[in-house]
Amino acid sequence: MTLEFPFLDLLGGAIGVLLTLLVFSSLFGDHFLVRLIFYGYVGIMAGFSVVITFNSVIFPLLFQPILEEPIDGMVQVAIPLLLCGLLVFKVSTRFSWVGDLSLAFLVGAGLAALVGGAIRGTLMPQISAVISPFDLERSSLPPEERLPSLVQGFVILLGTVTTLTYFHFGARPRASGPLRRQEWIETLSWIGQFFIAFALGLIFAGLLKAGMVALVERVQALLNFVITLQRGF
Amino acid sequence: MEAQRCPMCGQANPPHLEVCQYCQARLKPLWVEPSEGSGSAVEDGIARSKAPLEPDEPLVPEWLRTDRMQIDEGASFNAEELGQEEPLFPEEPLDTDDFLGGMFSDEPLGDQGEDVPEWLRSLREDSAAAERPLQSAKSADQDLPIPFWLDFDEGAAEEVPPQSPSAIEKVPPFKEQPFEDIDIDSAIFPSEQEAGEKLTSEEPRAVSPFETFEPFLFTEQPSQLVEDSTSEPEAAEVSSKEGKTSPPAAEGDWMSEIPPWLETLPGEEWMESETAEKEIPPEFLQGAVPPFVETDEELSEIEFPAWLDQVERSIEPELDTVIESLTPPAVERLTTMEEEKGEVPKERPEALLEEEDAVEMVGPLHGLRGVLPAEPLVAEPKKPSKALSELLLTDKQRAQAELFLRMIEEEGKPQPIPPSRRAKPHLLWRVLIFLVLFAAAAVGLVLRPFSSAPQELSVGVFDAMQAVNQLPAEAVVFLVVDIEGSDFAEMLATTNALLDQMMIKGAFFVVVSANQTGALQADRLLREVSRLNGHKVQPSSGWLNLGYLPGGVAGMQAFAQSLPQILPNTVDGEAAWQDKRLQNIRSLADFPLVIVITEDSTRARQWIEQLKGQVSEARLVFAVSAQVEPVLRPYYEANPRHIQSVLAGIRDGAIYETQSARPGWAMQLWDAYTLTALVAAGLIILGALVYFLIGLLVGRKPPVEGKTS
Repeated sequence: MTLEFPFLDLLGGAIGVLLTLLVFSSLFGDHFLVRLIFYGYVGIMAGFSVVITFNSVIFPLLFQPILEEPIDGMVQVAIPLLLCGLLVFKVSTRFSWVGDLSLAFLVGAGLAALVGGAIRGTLMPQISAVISPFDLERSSLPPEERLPSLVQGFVILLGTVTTLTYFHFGARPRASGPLRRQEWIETLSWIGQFFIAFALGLIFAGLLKAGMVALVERVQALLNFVITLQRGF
Repeated sequence: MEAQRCPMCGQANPPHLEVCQYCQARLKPLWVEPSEGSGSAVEDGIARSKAPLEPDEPLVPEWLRTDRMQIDEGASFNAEELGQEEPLFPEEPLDTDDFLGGMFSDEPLGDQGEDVPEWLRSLREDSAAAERPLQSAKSADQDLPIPFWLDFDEGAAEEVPPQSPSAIEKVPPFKEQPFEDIDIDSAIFPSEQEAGEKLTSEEPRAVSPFETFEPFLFTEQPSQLVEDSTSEPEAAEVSSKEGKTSPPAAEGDWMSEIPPWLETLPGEEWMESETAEKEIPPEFLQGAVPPFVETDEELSEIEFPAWLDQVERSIEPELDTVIESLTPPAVERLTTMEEEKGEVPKERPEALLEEEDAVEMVGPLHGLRGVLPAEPLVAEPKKPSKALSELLLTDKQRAQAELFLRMIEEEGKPQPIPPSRRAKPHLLWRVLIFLVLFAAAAVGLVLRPFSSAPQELSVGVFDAMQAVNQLPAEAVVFLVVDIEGSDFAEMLATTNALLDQMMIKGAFFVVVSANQTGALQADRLLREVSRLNGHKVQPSSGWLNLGYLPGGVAGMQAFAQSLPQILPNTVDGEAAWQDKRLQNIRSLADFPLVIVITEDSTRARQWIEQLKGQVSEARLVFAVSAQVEPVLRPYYEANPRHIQSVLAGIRDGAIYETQSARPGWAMQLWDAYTLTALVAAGLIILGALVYFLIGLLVGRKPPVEGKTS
């Protein structure tokens, strides 16, 4: 028997509707069906990750070089294979130190790339973005737009300084009370928490908007399924 | 004094001589006869051991001597009857104190045990247990019994000369030595024929200690015994030759002259074997402790043959084992003997008994029982001084200590947890809010109340459109898709118009993903865009999926520098870089446009950082979720820019569709999204207002989480 394409669409839609309703049922509390959906989702994703990892990493980077050119391939994968083999020792408490070499290489290379990228791609550009509004000579804006740009630069500078001040936790003991930061630091950090609140509010709004889109998409899927059933396929 | 006659040649000798002046035979017996007024058996033993023995003098047991005298009496009687003038031996009264005399008495063993030799004592004890067969006695040897020469009973202990205790200590190695090379059974229990042949065949002679394999300590004394034993039938032969009517003593028949006391013992075999064993001790035991060696100095002066050292060295481990196994029972026997003598009190404290019963489990004394512990001597309990047990506290210190104790007690008391004042979402409210939002979305989808897309032009959308418009036809576009399934709808709405425009221009996509599900979501995304916009783009013709890029940040950096080496194949396993459309592509800089589609702010920042310097800012476009926009906005609004454009959320997607005059997926959801967002914002405002009013009505400040009123 050959299944028709509309039938497969209807079947897929029915499964999607069923799963959507089960997820919506979490409104009434945690129960078996909700957990079944969650566990199934995690399991499927884990299995898919294993397959993807084998097909995209292990086979092309480990087996394929050896199969195509055994000698050159062995030379190519020898050191990575050795480092991977050392990681097996991490399961043992006694010989766990053997795997530290691989972990050290892994963490070191990762941190080097991360720190280098952060300095080159984030820290320096952000500092430049804070400073550049005050460089009126190099500004490409027309003179009538320079004042708003200067104000905007000042706000950016204030937000950057106060936000950084908020995360300064150095304090000195006072004669009459507990440990507290200095007054000017307290003031700047109090201002900085507003900027942080705005930034977090924006992120929360983005999460809410993403959730709204997901809700609307699911409602549309339910409606499409109902309309499809009403029209009789 | 009367002249004494030689028992061998019969010639008269002066009484002061100990050796016959004619035949050099010994005139006086080797063993000093115990007298009535003699001391204890210990003294007797000392006297015996100290009695000088000469190698050429026979060692005659008392039973043999008595037997001889009886024979002599019979011979003299027959001689008188035959008219002979002189008997062979002078008439001597039978000494009733002889140890063989005790064999005929019914007195208990302990009454006369002091005068009985050890080997005879064992024989008599065995005769008391007459029912025990010989084989059972042999099998008992397998249970490590104590040999009679180690059996430190009264008689044996008393026979040990106290002056030379080292001789006892040196006995085990010498006694055990013959076990290697001597058939013990045959030595202890010789057959009748062997005994007879040995006794009759060997001529009386002085045996050199080095003539045989056995050491002279073992062989010398038995040779003398054999000589003594053979002297009796020879004397009989001499008497018979002289015409005397002595009892016939043929060769090998000397055993037929069994003493009367032996006839009472049951078992013929037992009699034969035990007689040979007990009356004539085994050879290796006869020479175990030579009588002329009394001290260690004398023993050390003896030059032992080389073979003895070899034998001793070879059997040394086994000797140690035997000694170790034999020592504890010997110690127990000594302890028992001391108890019997009354030297040790019978009743001891239980603690002492426990200590004595305790067996040492470790150390060099392993296996010994009753080892005295050394701890009480080392750590003798002492009463602590009184001054150390008292603390000198001032009133202030005492008050502080009491306060500290009170604080500790209060801390230990359970305190009720204050009820949380945080408002818990009620089920009814949750369901009601959900229904309101669901209804808003449904109404927006069905009714489309606004029917208008956002009219303002976003700067980000404008820059993205410019970047797409500048693409050449059938350009190769690098596409990074790092999205999860939950955000697929938003990302589809955001990128629909962008991807649609590039598909219209015939762009070919090279797709990669830094998360494991990204490759799957990339395929789904491109298929949906193609389907929604009416394109017929297929994976092989429209895009090339390189799959998962491992390594995180390091993988991104490596991939940005060398594409073919990091991901040589597609997700289907085909060689990716052999496609003719990718012949001129070797790095990211070769792509005319790079688009990063993600809903993760961290992943978006990492891509910016790693792609900086590898890709021109004019070719880098980000299509992200609305939640990522605040993170990317500084990179976009910086001067100079770090990225060409940012498309954030469904709003920018709807604007792009509107500006491109191709309404699509974003426009379908826009009305519903807008209405739902308005309702949600209204609910948030309404809830905050109601909550604020409730706080005002109650008249107190609304509680803050984590603080109590």
